[in-house]
Amino acid sequence: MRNDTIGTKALIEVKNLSFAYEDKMVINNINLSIASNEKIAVVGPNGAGKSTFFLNLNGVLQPDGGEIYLFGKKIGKKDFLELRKKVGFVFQDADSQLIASNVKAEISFGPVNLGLSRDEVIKRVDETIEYMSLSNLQERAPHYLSGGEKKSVSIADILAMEPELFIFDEPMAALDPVNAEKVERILEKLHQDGKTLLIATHDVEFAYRFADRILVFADGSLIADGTPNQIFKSPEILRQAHLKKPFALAVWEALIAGQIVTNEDDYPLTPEEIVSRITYSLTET
Amino acid sequence: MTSKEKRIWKISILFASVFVAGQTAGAMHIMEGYLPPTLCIAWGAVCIPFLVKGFLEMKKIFSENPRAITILAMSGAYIFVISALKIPSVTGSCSHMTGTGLGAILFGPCTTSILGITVLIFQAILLAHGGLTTLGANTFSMAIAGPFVSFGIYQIFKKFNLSKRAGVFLAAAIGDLVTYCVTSIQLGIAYPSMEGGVSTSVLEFLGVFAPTQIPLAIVEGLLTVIIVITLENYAKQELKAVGFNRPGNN
Amino acid sequence: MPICDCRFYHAKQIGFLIFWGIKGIFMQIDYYAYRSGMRDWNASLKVSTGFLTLCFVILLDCILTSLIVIFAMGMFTVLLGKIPPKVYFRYLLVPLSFLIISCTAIAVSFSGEPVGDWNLSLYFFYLCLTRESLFLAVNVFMKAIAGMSALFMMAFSTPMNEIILVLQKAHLPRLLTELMNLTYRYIFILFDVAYQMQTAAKARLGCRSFIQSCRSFAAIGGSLFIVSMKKANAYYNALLARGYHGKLEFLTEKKPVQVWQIVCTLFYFAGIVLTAIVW
Repeated sequence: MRNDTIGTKALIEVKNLSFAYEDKMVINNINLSIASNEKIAVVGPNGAGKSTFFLNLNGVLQPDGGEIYLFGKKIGKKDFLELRKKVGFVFQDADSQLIASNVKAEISFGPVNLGLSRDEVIKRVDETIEYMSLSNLQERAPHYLSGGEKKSVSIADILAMEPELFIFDEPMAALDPVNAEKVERILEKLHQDGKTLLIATHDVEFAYRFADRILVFADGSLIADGTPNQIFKSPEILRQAHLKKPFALAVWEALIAGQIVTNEDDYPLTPEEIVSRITYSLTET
Repeated sequence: MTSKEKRIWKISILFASVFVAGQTAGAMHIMEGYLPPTLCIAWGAVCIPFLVKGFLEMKKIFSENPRAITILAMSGAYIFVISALKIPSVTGSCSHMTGTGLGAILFGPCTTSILGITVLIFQAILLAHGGLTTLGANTFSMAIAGPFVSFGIYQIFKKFNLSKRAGVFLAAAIGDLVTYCVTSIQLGIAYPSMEGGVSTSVLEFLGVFAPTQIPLAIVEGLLTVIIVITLENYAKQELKAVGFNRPGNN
Repeated sequence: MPICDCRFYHAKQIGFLIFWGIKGIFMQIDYYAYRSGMRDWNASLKVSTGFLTLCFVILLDCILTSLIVIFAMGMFTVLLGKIPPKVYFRYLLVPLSFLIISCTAIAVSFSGEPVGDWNLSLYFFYLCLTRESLFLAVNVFMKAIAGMSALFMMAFSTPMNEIILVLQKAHLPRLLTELMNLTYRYIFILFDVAYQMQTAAKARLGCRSFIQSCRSFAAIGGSLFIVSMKKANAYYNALLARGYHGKLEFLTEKKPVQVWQIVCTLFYFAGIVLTAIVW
């Protein structure tokens, strides 16, 4: 939440984490460290163990092996509630999260569970409604909301709990482009406000332009962890994780190969950036 | 018109009105305000032991497995939705299953009694079927008598290794008929016939509801069989979660 | 137009496919409860007024009381609650088939001899109708309609969750109220799923014959069960993820009772009781 933790100590650290579901290893020996205010995309095929990993990270599932450290403190058998407080999980299917009968009550569920006083709960709910601009929906029932509205409310649910780390499981899935863009703006805003984000996605374009670090899951293991450029330039990783090269990267590589632009470390992330870079280099020469 | 013609004319009107009125044949919910106060209370009281048993059972399930709360809530919602789906009908009228026979087979009769009363409250408030003062009577016929008979039949068939399909069919169909008979008895007791007392009026109520309720019971039986077969083939895991086929599920 | 209106038309379509009888009115009670003019009234006041009215109707057992209740409750719902009269009257007619059948059974009795004030010979026995039985049938009819209108005053103005909250205040076990809360929410989710499945079945011509429609219906019933159990598991995880530890609690808004509302209610009850005594 606060920027002063950046760089001092890892927000969350995972060592040798494993989880089995009915004798079948779902995630295997994962090592990872996340610092505050990072924005991390998690990619990998369906069934690679991303969701299970998240549920472990959030304390809903208890790992069968390995440790989780929160601010350097080891999470023991009794501290899982602590983990649920500090790590917020926005589910893919907003319906699975919404349980109350109006938006205001819905947002209050997390804070009430945290054991806050009524005044504090009201304050948090009001702040969250303001932050997410949901004031016109606050008296409505979740079953009369549209898909995009449900998504916003499900994000607000977690926001009101003020966690340190936000986990999003495919936040743009099943949303139309306008609503997907809206969610992306919300994610960007959360990042600007110093929050730490961990986002599972199948959208490589989004992962490439948005994240500053990418985790690649395949068959229950973390097979790669690096910057978007490192990940998406490796044909081996792309093949293993069933990924496609982002459009902007492919175009830029083609431009480099055709010697239209020079190869620098700083790659453009979107079509608009490519255009402005080319225009710039054209005016330079 | 001769007197004979007149009579035929009157009888045809009577039949027509019964069939027109029977166009929306749901389960037989006794409507709000229909029963006198003593009977409202009496039928409510009859339900209490069953509900308490169901409640205690449910409490035990929760203490063993807290996850059961969403499973049971889903089960309740499932019974509500399945009983609101329009079922295929031969006559072209619009009918619905009670779903409680299926509930009894899947979740056991005690759990079904609690799920049943919540479903009846929702049906009264959200769909205007049944009512709050008649909740006791409706709970007894739909959420207690029917499910317990269904469950009994189902268990007997299982115990003696008789045909499972026949067991499920009879459990659901007879459970439905029991609900219909109990409701008729409740109505008969509430409004005894001027001439022949309670027994005559029970027969009258059985008679007027028979054209809609008997075909409904058969269709409900059929549907329940196909649903249970589908579930046994494709949903073993989910059935285990609700305790289906668990030895002591009652 | 707000999005929820679109959702309402969607609900209307569901109603056409799957509803008890009359097309187009599926779950409208719930929809209107959220936008009722009486939404801001104290829920306990509405629920207890509705319930007391029900008690008065069946205890006093008098046609005049029933008529007053029908009138007063209708006024509350239509004028104060601003529920469209068309919708309200259509709902009053929902239990009509039950009512006609069962009131006929009360009014008419079978007999071997032509007794009663009117009778109709059916060769083997007679259908008889007496003044008293007819009066009783009319009285029952009126009581039932009055009961419905009292129920509607409550249901059309109070969303289900608030009713559940009142039950909780009335010391219904917590386990039950929480179960009801979740069930209420899940009903809508399963309805969406059922609606999609039914549309898909229709698209694949699953309703050509009676047997075929039975198969489609059962297939929907079966898959609906599987979906519901899968979701139950995921939903529990979602509850845990938000710090759930055995108690479903939300922020509830306090809706204080206004003096004029109490005066209104008292006036109404006094009216009922007085007419019953005078009558």
